[in-house]
Amino acid sequence: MPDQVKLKIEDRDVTVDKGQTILDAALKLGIIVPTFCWDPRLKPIAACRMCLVEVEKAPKLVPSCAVPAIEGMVVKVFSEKAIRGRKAVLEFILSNHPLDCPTCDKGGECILQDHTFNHGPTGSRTIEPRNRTIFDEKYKFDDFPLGPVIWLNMNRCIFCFKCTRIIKEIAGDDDLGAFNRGYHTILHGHKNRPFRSEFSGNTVENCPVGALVANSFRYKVRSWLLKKTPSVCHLCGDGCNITLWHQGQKLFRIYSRWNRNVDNGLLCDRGRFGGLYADSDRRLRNPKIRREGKLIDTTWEEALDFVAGNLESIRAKFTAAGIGVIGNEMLSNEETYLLSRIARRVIGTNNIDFRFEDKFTPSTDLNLKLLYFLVKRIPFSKFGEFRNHLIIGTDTEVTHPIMTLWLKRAISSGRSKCYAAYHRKTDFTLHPVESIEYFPQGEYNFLLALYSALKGKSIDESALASGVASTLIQRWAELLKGSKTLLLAGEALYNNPRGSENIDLLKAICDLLGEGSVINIPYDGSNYLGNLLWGATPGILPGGSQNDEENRSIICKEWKCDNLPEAGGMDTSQMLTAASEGKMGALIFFGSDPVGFYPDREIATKAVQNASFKVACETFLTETGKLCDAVLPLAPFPECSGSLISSEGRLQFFEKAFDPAYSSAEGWRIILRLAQRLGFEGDYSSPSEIWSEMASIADKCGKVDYKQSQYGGQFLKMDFAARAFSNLDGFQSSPLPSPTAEFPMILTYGASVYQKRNLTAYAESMDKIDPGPKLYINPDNAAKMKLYEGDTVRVSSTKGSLTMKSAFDYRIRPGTVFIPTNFQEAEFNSLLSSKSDLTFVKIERL
Amino acid sequence: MTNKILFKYIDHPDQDKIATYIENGGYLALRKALKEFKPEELVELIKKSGLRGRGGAGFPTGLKWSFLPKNMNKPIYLIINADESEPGTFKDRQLMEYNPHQLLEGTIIAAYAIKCHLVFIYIRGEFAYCAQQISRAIQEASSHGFVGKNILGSGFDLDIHIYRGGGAYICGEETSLMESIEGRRALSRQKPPFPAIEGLWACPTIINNVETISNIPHIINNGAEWFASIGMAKSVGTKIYCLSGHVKRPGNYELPMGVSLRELIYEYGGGIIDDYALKAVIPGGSSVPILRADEIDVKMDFESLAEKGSMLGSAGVIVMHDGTCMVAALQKLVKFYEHESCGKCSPCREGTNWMNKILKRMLAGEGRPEDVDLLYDVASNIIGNTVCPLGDAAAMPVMSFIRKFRDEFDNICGGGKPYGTISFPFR
Amino acid sequence: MVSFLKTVIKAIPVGLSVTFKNIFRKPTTLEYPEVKPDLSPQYRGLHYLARYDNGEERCVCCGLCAAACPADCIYMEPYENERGERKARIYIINEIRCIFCGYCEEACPEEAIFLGKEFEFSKYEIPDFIYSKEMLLGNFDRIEMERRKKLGMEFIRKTRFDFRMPTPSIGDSESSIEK
Repeated sequence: MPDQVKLKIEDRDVTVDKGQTILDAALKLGIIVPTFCWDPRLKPIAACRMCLVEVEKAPKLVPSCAVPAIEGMVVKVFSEKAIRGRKAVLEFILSNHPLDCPTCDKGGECILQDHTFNHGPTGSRTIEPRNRTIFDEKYKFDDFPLGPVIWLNMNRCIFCFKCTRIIKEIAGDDDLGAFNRGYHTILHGHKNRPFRSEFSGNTVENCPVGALVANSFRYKVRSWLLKKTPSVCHLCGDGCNITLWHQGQKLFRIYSRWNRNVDNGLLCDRGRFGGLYADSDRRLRNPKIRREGKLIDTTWEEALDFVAGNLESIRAKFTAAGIGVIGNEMLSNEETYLLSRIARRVIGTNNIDFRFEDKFTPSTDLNLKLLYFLVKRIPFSKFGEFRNHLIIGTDTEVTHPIMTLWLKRAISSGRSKCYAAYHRKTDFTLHPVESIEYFPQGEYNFLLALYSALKGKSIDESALASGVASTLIQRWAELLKGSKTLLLAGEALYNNPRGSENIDLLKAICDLLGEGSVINIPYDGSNYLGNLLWGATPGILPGGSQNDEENRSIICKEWKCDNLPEAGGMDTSQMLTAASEGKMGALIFFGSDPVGFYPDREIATKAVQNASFKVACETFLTETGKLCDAVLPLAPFPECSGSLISSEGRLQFFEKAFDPAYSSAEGWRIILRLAQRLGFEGDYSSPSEIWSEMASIADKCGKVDYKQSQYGGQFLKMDFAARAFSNLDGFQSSPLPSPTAEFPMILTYGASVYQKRNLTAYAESMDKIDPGPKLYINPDNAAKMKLYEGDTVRVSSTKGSLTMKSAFDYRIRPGTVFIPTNFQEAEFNSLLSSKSDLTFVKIERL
Repeated sequence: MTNKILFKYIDHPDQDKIATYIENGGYLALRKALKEFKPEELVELIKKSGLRGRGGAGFPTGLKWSFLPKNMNKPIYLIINADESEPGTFKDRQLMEYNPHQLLEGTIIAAYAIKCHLVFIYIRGEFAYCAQQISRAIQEASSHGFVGKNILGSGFDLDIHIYRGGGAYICGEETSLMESIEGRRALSRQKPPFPAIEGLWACPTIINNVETISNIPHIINNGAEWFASIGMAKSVGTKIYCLSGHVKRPGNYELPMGVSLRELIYEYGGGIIDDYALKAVIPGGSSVPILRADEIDVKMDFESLAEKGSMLGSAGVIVMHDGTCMVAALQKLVKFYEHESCGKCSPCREGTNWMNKILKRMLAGEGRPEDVDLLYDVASNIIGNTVCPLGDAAAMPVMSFIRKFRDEFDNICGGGKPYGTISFPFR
Repeated sequence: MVSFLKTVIKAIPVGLSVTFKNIFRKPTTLEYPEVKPDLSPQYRGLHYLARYDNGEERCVCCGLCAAACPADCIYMEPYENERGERKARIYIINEIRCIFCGYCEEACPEEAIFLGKEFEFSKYEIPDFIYSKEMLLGNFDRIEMERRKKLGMEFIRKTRFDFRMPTPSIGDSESSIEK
C-alpha cells in the first residue's frame, strides 16, 4: 500500500498511515513513550524532548512525537541510549522545578511526578536555589493571578507551551503568549493585559504540572480524594461531555470527558467554571410557602399538599385551561415528559411552554417546519466537509462555544470559509471570516436580499431595508453560489415576528446553493430539542408529533386514558398576557423566571401578581419566585440523572454525582409527587423507568429513532415529514421602523459569553470573569456623545429607564446598544415592551 | 595575500557605490549567468566548484540547492543569513559594509539558479549600518535594472526584502530565522522537515551565508575549475579568518583554505600581545572545541580541524594568552549561551543555566571537587538531545575546556585561586 | 506411705526455693501510675504538629498523612493565609481511630507531624478524642518547652508574627511528660 509505512519498534512490526509519527506507531503497539508537550490536537513542537527514542542509523536520538515514521525504520524505545537520554532530559526539567508538591494543587495528578517516578533520576545533583531569576518583579513570587480565573506559578512551568498553543491553535485567539527568551521566559496575556479567554480553562486542564491553577480549585482539596462522575454540561446546546470531581456533596471542579465527536476534550469557561454554580451556598435550601404575605420554610409534605390543594381548587374554579405550566429548556427529557404528562393528562391543559426569554417564539407550524431540518442535519465532526459555512442570526461563540471551535477548525484547515451575518460583529468575526452586520431584526430583509441576489433579481430595496450595502450581498451571493454550504440558522431567524417567512427564505436559499447544502438549526439551550420532542409546547405531543386527533389517540392508548385536551393552548407570551389581565388561575414555573427574563417586565410582573395561585420550582430564589405563593427547591444538574438531546441531535445520558444537597429534590421527583397528589396513579423509582415508558411512546410515534444511531453512539436518526414552504414570489421587503429623534438608539440584548441566564453568576469565579452589568456601545457612537468607558449612563425607553456603567465594544453596530441579560439586578427587561418589535432608547451621561 | 577574492577591493574607496563596483568588474557575472546559463547549469557549476557553506556547518552549497523539490507549485524562497552573531566572528559585517553589491550580485545569481523570485536578507538587528548599506545597494541595483521585473531582459523577476532581526543569537539558526521572518518568536523547529523541503511558510527555502553568496559572482566569472584549484582538496576557495583576542593585529584575513593556524596567529596576527606565551585558541567561533597551544600546527580547513577534534565553524579565531583563566573564560562563554538560548527545548534551556550556575559557583570559590565531573556530565547530556545546534554549541566548548584544562578546574574546585588574571578576549 | 512422705518432704523445699529465689529479685511489673514506664525510643504515642523556630506551623495541609493513614483518621481542609501560603484551616486527628502506626510521620514531606511519647490521654467522652489543629500544636509546645527546659534554653521565640503559647486544652493538663 502506498499510503502506509511499515516500521519496527522494539522488534515488533507495525504499519501506520503515511505522515503519522513514531509516537503514533508506538501507541498503536501499546508502547507508552513519556511525553509532556505532545497533544494529539496540537501540532507537534518537540520542545520537551521527553519522547526521545533511538532510531537505527540516526546519529542522534529523535523526538518521536514530531518525526514521521519512515518505511523500514527500526526504532528502539527502551535501549540503553534512549533511556539515558530521557533520564537526562528529565533531570534537566527537574533541575529547576521547585519541590513544592505538598502545596501544589496538581500534586497527585501531575505528569511530571508520574514521569519522575517511572523514568527519572533518583536523586538530585543541583544544590542551587530552585527559583527562576525572572526580570519581572511580579513573577518572582510563588504564584499570582494571571487572569480572572487562573493563577500562574512560573517556577513550576516546564515550558511545554501547551497553554499558548491551545489558545492559539484551537481557540484561535492571541490571548496568551510567551515572552522573553530562554530561561527567563514568562507567560502573560498580550499587551500586558490579564489573560482572559472564553476557553482559558483548557490551559489549566492540559497543564502537565501545577503552573496554571484554576482560582476555584486553588488550595481547596487534594485531587486523589475526589470522586469522578461522568456527566453532560447543561449550559448550552453543545452537550459537552464533562466529568464532575466531587467529594461528598461538594462539587470541586469540572473537567472534560473527551468525546471525540462532540467536544474533543475542550470546554468553555462557562461550562467549566460556571457549572460550579451548583456548589453555591446561596441555593434554596427548603420548600417555602407564603403565609401571611411572607415566604416561610416548611416541609416537603406540607408544601406539596399546599400546592396540590390550591391547584385542585383553581381547577374547579377556572377549569383546566386556567392553569399554565412554564418549564425551561434545561430540564431533562424525563422531566419534560413528566411535566407534559401532568399538564395534559393530570391537569388537563395544553398550556405548556418552555421558552420564556423570547418575545416571538415560533408557532407550532414553524416548529414543525424547523423539525424537518433535523432529518438531514450534520454532526460537528463533519463541518470540515463543507466548502462554506453561512451563519445567520446568531453569535455562535456565545450560544455554542464548542461548535464554534469545530467551525474554527474547519476554517483553519484551509478548506472551508465562513460567512457570518448578525446584527453585530460576532466574536467569531475576529477570525478570517466574511461578516455582515444588518439592522437588528433585519433578518427577513437580509435573507430576501440574499435570495434575490442568488436569483439574479434586483436587491436594492431589500438591501437598503436590511441596512447592508447591496454590493456586499451581491458579493456573498457570487461567492456562495454553487458551493456546498452549511447554513447555520440562529435563533434570531425563528424567534422573530417574521419567523415563518425567514425559514421559507432560508430553505429557498439552501436549494439555490450548491449540491449537498444543508440547514442546521443550532438550538440555544441544553435540551431545547428534547423539550420540543417531548411535548413541552402546546402544539407538539410527547414523541414529536403534532397535537391532532390521530396522534392524541396514540398517546391516549399509552397513557391509558380516554381523551386528552383538544388542540389549542397558549404559549408563554399568551399565558403571561392572559394572566396579566387576570384570566389565568394558576401558573407553574418550573425553573423558569419570566419576571427576570421575559422581554417585558411589566407584563410578566403583572401576570405573576394577578394569577390567583403561582408556584415556582427553582434552584435559586428568582425574581419570579419572590412573587410566588410556593417555592420548591430544585436540585441542579450534578444532583440529578436523566438524558439530554443536544442541539446537534445527540442523545446523552447523565448520572447524578450525589444526592440532592440541603432539602432540594430532583425535578422528576417533584413533578411525580405533585402529580400523585393531583390524582396520578403511576409511580416511577428512577429516571430510567420513565425513559423506558418514553421509548415505547417514541416507538409508536416513529419520529425519532432512539434505538438506532449512526455513529458516536447516540446521534439520533430522525424522520419528520416536510411541511409546505410558501411561495416566495409575493415576498416584499419591509422597512423597519426607524429610531425617533427622542430615542435615537436601537436596544439589543442577549446572553454574554461567560454566562447562562443568572445561574452561572452564582459560581465562585464568575464575578471576576464577568463583573456587573454594562451597557455596550460602539466607540464611534460614544465619541459623538462624548462618552468615556466606565461612565455611568442612564438608558431610557418609553417603558422605563436604567442606570449602569458604559463599556466600549467595537463589535456593536453603530446606532445600537447592547445589554447583557445575565444580571438580575440590571432588570434589562423593564425597558422592553412586548407590543413593539424593536425598542428604541436614549442614552444620557450622568 | 595576493590572491584575495572577496576582499580584493575592500580598501577601494566607494566600492559600495554601484558605479565604482561596475567599474571594478561588477555585475559582469550576473550578465554572464543570465545570458549563458540555465538555472540547472548554474547549480551544476556551483556543485562542481566545490563551494561549501561558510556559515559554520560547511555543507556543499550546490548540493543544498539541488535538494529543492522539482515541479512543485509552491514558491521557492532564498534567505541570506546575515545574522552574524557568533562571538569571535565579524566577517559578514565587513562584506556588507564595504562591498554590498558583491553580495547582491551573488544573491541575484543564486535566486536565478534556484528559480526563486523573492529573497529575504535577514540582517542582525545591531547591524544598522549594514542594513542601510544593503538597502541603498538594492535601490541602486534596481535603478540599474538588476533587481525587479525582467532583469536585464532575461524575463527573470526578483524582489529582495531586507528583514532586520531583533538581535537574538538564535536567529542565526536557520529554522529560528524562518520563524522570525514569519513573525513569531524565534524558536527553532524540529528537523526534518528540512527547509529545502518545507521552510518559510511551509515552502521550499534555501538559506545561505553572506560569505557563501559573495563567492558566487567570482565563480561565475572565473569558472568552477579556477575556484576548485584554490585551497585544499575538499575545502576549496578562500576563507575570511576573523582573528581576535590576544593578538597584536586582530582583524579579518582572507586567505586560502588550509592556512596553518600558527602562521595565521604569528605571521598575520603578529603574535601574542605583550609577548605572552600562547595558551589556547578557539579556531572557529565560540561554539567549537578549543585547541591547546601545542595543537596549533593545524591547517585551517574543515577536514584538518575535524581530525584534531575541533571545527572550522565560521573561522572566528579567538586567541588566549597565558594569563587567561580558563574557568572564567568558559563561564563567559556559557553565560552567553544561557542568555541566548531560545528556551524551547528543556536540555538547552535548563542545561545552559545549570552550567552557568556551576561555573559561577566555582569562580566564587564554592566549587566542590565533584563539580567538574558534574559539569562534564551535564554538557554531555545536552549534546544531541536538543532541537537545534545551540545546545551542542554550548556543550562542546564546555567539554573541550574540561578535557584540555582539567587541572585548572580541579584546582579551583579544590579551593585554589583562579589561574591568571581572569581576562578574556571578549567581555 | 513412706514413699509418699518422702515425696512431700522433698517437694516442699523445692517449691519454696522458687519463692525464696524470687523474693529478692527486682520486680518486672511497675507501680503504675506512681512509677512511669521506660519507653523505647521508637515508641509512638500522641501526635503533635511541629512549628518552625519562629512559631509558624510547619504543616502545609498537603494531605499525604491522610492519604497514608490506614485507619482514615485524619481530615484536613486547606486555606490560603494572609501571605499567600497554603496552611491548614481544619486539621483533625481522631485519636480513637488511630492505630499509631506512624505512617503519617513517614509520609510527611514537611516534617510537621510526629508521634510523641505521650500515652496517657484518656478521656471520659469519645468526642474529646478528636484532636484539632490547635490541640496538636499545643502538644508540640509543651514538648518543646520541656525539651528546652531540660537543655537549659530559654523559651524564646523569634516571632515574625504575634505568637502566644496556646493554653493546653487537653482534658488533664498535668500530663506525665511535665512531671
